[in-house]
Amino acid sequence: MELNQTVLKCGMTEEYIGDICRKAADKGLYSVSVFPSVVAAAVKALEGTNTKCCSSVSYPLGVDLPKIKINEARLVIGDGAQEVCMVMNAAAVKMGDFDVVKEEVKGVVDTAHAAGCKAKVMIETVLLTKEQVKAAAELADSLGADVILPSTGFKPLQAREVTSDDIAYIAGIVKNAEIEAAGTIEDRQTAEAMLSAGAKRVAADAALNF
Amino acid sequence: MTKITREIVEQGIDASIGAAPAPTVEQVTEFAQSTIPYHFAAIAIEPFYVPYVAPMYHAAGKKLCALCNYPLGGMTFEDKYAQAKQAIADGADELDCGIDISAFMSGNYKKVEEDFKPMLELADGRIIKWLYFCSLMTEDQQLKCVEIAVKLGVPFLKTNPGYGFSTTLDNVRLVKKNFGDAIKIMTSGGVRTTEDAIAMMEAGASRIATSSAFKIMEGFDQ
Repeated sequence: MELNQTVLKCGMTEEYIGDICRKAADKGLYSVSVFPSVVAAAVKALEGTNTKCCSSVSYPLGVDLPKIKINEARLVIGDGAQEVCMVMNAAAVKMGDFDVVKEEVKGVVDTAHAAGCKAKVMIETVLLTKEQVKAAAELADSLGADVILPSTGFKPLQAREVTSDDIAYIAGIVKNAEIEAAGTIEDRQTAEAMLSAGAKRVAADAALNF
Repeated sequence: MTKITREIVEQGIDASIGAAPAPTVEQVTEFAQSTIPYHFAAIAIEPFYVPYVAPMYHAAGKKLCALCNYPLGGMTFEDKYAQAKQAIADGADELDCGIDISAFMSGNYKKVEEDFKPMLELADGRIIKWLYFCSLMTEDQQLKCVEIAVKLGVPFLKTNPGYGFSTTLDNVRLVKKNFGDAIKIMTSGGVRTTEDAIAMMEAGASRIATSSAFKIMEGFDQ
């Protein structure tokens, strides 16, 4: 099972980040996701291992201007992150302002690819209609996003649970991008259901326990 | 002790939209317009919305506060600086700025200082608030954190973001008792009623950040 250990909690110390990264690497996890401010600490702890460092930009709200997200992508790559995950502007999606969405996604994707890094896009599907999710996922896929996630997994924003149906729906839409399941996946069983529905990988706070 | 009047509470409120996440520009604009009849200190909005709302809101003689490095404090320094700079250019009158909370919790106080000094300079006399996530901290940590803010000459504290962080009266009293008038306090997180607001101001808060601004004001009418 391909797993991404998320450590996107406020105020995690460098010591804690280092500890989680070492554990993730020992268990052969695919990646660890951390905030931009602690990328250097994560990269250092993961050095020499096969576990990748991913950093989440504009997390969890995604209501930043495109240039701010693109700038942060550049900075986390400079600090050594191998993958950049951006939260798509769900407000812009709701507004049908796909110029903004295109600018931010393309900017982050191009920045990541130019550096040989992967670009991931989080679409907060629980805030959107099915039609909006379709438009958002299609756009991200067409702009070259390597991975699409259906959620930030940030509890206060989860109007409802992300289900394997959400995964299956997005899997039916995207042609190139991988799907990484995210939401509130708390056990291995749920993770397996997500993979069966079409996810390539699962992101979770509890990934080390799966 | 000064009696906390309706006027004092109203003029001390930083109102936020609350309700559903990722509101549209239309929804934020409507919210901003609905605050115009009141005498709140400011409304607090995320950076994306600032350029859309600022012209109308300034024309009405009102102030905008931009939420930077919010709500979880994990941005790089460089991008946080760029974000704040852009927000000011777009019309923000005040900034709420998350400190480098990971650095602080790691005991790297020098980094926390070096991170915020340029933010203070960028603010250039505008009110900038030191958002320090007090709910994550022991009393000693809270004291240390506020000490750094006072040392830097930061004008205002913001105790917590929203999103489940709740500030207690003790959090506010601790600061007031140890730092007096050296720094102002904006309490944030969990203030929902008129009674909450009055109690916080009696404890020493000068401002209240809340998504329940209208409800709080309605409480005075009863």
